[in-house]
Amino acid sequence: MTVIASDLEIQSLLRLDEGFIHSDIYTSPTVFEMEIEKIFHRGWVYVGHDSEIPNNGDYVLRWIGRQSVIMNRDNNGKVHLFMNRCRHRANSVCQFEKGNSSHFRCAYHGWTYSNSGDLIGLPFSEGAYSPELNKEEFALVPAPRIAIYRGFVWGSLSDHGPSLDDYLGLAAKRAIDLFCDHSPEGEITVRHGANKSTIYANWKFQGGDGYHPPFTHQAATMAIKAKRQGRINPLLVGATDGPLSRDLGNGHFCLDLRSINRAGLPDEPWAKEYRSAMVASYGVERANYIMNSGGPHTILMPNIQLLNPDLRVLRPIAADELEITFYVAFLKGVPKEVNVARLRDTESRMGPAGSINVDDVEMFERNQLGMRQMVNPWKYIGRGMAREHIDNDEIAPEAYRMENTMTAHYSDELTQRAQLRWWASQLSQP
Amino acid sequence: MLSRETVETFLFREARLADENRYDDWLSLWTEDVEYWVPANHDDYDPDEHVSIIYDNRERLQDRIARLNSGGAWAQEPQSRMRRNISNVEIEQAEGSEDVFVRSNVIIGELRRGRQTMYFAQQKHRLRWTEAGLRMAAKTILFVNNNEPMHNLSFIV
Repeated sequence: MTVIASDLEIQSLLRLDEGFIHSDIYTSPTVFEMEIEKIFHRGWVYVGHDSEIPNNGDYVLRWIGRQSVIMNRDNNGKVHLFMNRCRHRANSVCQFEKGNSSHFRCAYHGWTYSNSGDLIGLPFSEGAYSPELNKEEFALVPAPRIAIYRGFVWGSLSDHGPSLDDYLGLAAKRAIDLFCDHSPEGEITVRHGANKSTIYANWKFQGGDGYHPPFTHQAATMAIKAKRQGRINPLLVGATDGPLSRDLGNGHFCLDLRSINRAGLPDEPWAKEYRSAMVASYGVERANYIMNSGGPHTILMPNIQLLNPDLRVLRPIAADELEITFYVAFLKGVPKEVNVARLRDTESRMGPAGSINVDDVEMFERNQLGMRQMVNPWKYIGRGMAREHIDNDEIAPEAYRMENTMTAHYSDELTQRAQLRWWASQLSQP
Repeated sequence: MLSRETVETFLFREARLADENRYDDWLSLWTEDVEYWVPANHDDYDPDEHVSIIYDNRERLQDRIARLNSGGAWAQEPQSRMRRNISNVEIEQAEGSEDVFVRSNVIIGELRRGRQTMYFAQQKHRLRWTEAGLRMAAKTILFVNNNEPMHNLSFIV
């Protein structure tokens, strides 16, 4: 295995102009440590959605890289991210995945913090500290930066770097907008449970690959859908004016399926009621666009994917292990049946027993195994390099338009190249 | 009321067919109506308000079996080798119906691609006599680790 001795050598792992990348990118523990340091413990990492903590005092326990963080809402309704660590001797102060609490009390020596982080309990302190301990200097430590876009909460463990606004960029924000705007109120709730999968493969396997479905998902697409459609996947043939792969900048990318009708609503009274509510909120043209688009199929670096109707959060564990959590996003202001359909759709495809996910997991793990073969360690992601072109997304309404973005055919490996170009730039930072 | 021997014979046979990946034989153990439920995160909630690992009616269960039978279900190629042990069987007559509720504990040992995994769960069966014999109308599996990240459950649980 190549030992990565310096940041400069990262660039030697990619020959993107020829379409080749080195397997060490996915297998090297040294590379993985650099990713934790320079991506997960420095840049913006998605933590949770503020609808998970609707009431004052609510909290959830999450991860930023290897750091345990508490996302909570204080008694005044403000959202915080706190490092899960007592200021005294560093015990974790929060033990449960979620709950509601006015305070966090360290069980080791009883130091107690309010849900806005203030140290409010310091047992037997009289005469113990000279000079007297200033409680204000011993508050829970907040994550250096927190930023929220449409309820999606990101944290950064560095106090400098690009703003979340700049990091996401317009195209990625418009994908989030399209996701949320499936609700006539423009709001989602993310507190309806989650499926959690362990995958023995590298975290950079994030899908966004339009080439694999008819092969990897042969079983799901052919056996199950045989009753509904033919054998050949129509997305794999044809020119680059249909579904696209799209580079959204900063490593974010999407499979852009918005141009094909994916509404899939049944002829039921609740579906008509949903459509009416959407038309009332957005007008006919925009409502039709939102619903027919099927929502985004968008992957935001480093750890969140918006694949309507679910949103997925990744947690890197090791070079060859990750965890992925599939949350079903409910839409506000819709008939109950709409959200039940979103549950059934997600369950049938995603999670440890989902028809799509299990075969993705299998392919990622076979890939991880294959990449250990080092006689020729170069992988090829050159598909569609000659048909990349700038697209202005003129068919989309202005609210969802992804102007001036690089695109290629749906099945092209533009998405992998976009991710790795960004990845190399992050790891090449001092 | 069904005898313990009748109930246990059914449970052991169901376990063996699942262990041996006999998908169609296992499917034939169901009544026409199907409620096959593997909760996620915790053991008891309204499945129309909270996502599940599996929540199949007959149509979705048939899709699940069709996928396994398709020849392209890579996550079961090669197939899992399994053996499961069932114990702690408790039998209860359903109120206002001929159905019988059965609770049991199960340990599933799965070997696939060199990795051996143990699963611990409680099972709840709703059994019914039909013209074809004893069948299950509902099966719920409460995994001890249903709130932890799990590896593929691509076999029949």
